[in-house]
Amino acid sequence: MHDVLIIGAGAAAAAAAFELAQRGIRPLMLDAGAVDDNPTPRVEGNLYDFRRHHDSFDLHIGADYRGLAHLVSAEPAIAKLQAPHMAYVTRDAEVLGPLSQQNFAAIQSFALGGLGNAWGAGLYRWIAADLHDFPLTLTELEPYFDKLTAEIGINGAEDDLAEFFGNPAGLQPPLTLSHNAQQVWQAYQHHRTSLRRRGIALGRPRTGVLSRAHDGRPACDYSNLEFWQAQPYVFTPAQMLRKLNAAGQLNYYGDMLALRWQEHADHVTVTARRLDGGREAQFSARRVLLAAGAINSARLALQSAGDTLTRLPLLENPILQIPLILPASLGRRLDTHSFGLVQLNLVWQAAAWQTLLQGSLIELTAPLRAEFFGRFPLAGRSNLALLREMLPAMLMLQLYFPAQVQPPARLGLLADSRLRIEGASFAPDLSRLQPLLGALRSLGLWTHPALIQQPVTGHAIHYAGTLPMRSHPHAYQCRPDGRLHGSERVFVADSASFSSLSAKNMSLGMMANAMRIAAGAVQ
Amino acid sequence: MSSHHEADILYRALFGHAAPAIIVQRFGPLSAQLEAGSSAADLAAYQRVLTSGADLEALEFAARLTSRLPLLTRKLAALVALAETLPENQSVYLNTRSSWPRGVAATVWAVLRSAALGLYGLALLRRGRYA
Ligand SMILES: Cc1cc2nc3c(=O)[nH]c(=O)nc-3n(C[C@H](O)[C@H](O)[C@H](O)COP(=O)(O)OP(=O)(O)OC[C@H]3O[C@@H](n4cnc5c(N)ncnc54)[C@H](O)[C@@H]3O)c2cc1C
Repeated sequence: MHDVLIIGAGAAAAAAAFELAQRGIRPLMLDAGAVDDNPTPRVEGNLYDFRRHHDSFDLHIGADYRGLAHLVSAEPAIAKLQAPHMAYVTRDAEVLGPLSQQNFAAIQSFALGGLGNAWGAGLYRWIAADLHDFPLTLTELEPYFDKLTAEIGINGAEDDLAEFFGNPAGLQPPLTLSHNAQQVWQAYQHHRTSLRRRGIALGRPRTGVLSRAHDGRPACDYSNLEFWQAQPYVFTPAQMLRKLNAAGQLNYYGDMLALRWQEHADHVTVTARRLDGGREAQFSARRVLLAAGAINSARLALQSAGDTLTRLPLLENPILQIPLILPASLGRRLDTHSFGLVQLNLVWQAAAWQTLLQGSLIELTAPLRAEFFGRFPLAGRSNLALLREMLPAMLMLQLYFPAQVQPPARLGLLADSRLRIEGASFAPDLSRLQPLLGALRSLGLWTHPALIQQPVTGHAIHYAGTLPMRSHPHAYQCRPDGRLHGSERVFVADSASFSSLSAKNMSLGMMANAMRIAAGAVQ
Repeated sequence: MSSHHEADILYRALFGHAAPAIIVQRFGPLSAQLEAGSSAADLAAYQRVLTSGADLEALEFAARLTSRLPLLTRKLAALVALAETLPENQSVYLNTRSSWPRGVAATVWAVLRSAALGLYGLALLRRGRYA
């Protein structure tokens, strides 16, 4: 009999285990547990120095051509997940977590560390407004945000976004900006007053990327490699789990697919299938924390009840991708020594949607240049010229909307054990973006509404709210302490428990909440 | 047509010379994967274009603008990616010196050149009845 059993090994599970370790509890963790077994050696040094001297086929594309899967299948893809060294993150997902989807394209991970192995590590504290619909106050989460900030090593600054990103205490200094981001930042200082009057604020992101060495991990070396392989300066949940495991504070059990649980008077039995042989095994624990990701925690709840009738809500942030050109940077040499992910954040109090939207201004230095070839609108050789002359002058704004701007997707279990997800397509009136596009122009950034892309729903990869937290929960909802309705011993520790989803990368909030729930469960 | 010959023709259309051996070798299996997902009509149209001897860059661009010949577009995009992984091609993809006037001139030229090629390609498409 185990004291606590955690299902899953993603960001929520890692945070829960971290909190339990501090309380002297060594949980059992059941996880499907894929790991990176790509035999190609890791690249050291700088991406572009490497490319100048070596064939980079294995790094970028791979012998199975997975780096070009978007061309082969014509399905929408997420470039970072196509990298050969990221193959394990989504390996066998369609077999282990079969889906039937309409207007939704969920990305699932059955890896040790989960989706966080590939994330951009944008780790943002919640503020009271983010908890608007939760039966919970910010004060209850603050101690966990503080602990995570200290443990992970999150960088950021006390700037105009501090009011949206919360207490900046304990942050590492921000990363060095790329040339393009530096230009935008200077323009912002110049136009700050008028932009703030228009409800737009710009500032440094909060990312789990070390700007200074911390806890045995090195500082960011601006190698542009974080897009292609795990880099030690980018925090991942897998790092946290490996550290706990090495310290004997975690009993990690990989190759296990949990199927269902059954609750008894004084314990819970979890049935799992061994992935290395197919046999079923049973584990008993006094308390079970569900942390298999919002979609798979819901799947487990429905499978445990044998329920193929109920439809649960599934929240996700709609997104728009806005390519931006800095005409002043045309013809510049590529900034090969910059951080290849988020450089700046933008927050817009959008009157047209009566809500706060958040944008991440992303550098385009890391992906394969060829990734953009098909997105430029000219003839082949001319597109090649644009890759060289114009791409180094471009940034991309990924604009997140809160989930509430569209009805939630619905999720239910089918008799053939697939999960059915029915999304609602998001069709915003782009003319409502005019105030934002005008503000971007004053920052020296040009675009055209025709260039704005709207990825399929599901590609923000912020899944939440399938088993939401309520003060007075009904079936498939949980209490403020995470306990599932009708249960005394099963707690929802991941984003399935979210009551709503603001326009903010959700993982740090989810991790703080997982710690709170784990702490409450063992009290 | 052999995948060797095919790679050479496509590569020449973009880079102006024959494909290096390693590209030819890598293109073969990829080309087969790309074809596996294409309809018989797409495949036949693609073969006609390839053996026509017509200006492939112009044809592909015009076809892209009019949503035709998707296989040709995908094969060219695949070659652009394969080519980028070779050290000797880095100067095609990466600017190593900064020059704003050159950047502007190259961009303006790319637009004008594409406009002309687009018109030419549309005429070729009409004449050749490829798709
Ligand atoms: C490219 C990319 C970039 C991203 N960038 C950011 C970002 O910058 N900021 C941010 O906040 N978020 C980001 N995200 C999203 C973020 O990674 C996820 O929201 C977060 O990692 C989810 O964590 P989780 O613990 O809920 O579940 P997951 O990461 O989905 O992990 C689920 C875990 O449960 C296990 N599991 C599932 N089902 C079972 C089962 N039945 N039995 C046993 N084990 C099971 C899996 O093996 C896995 O370990 C990004 C995601 C991607 C892919």
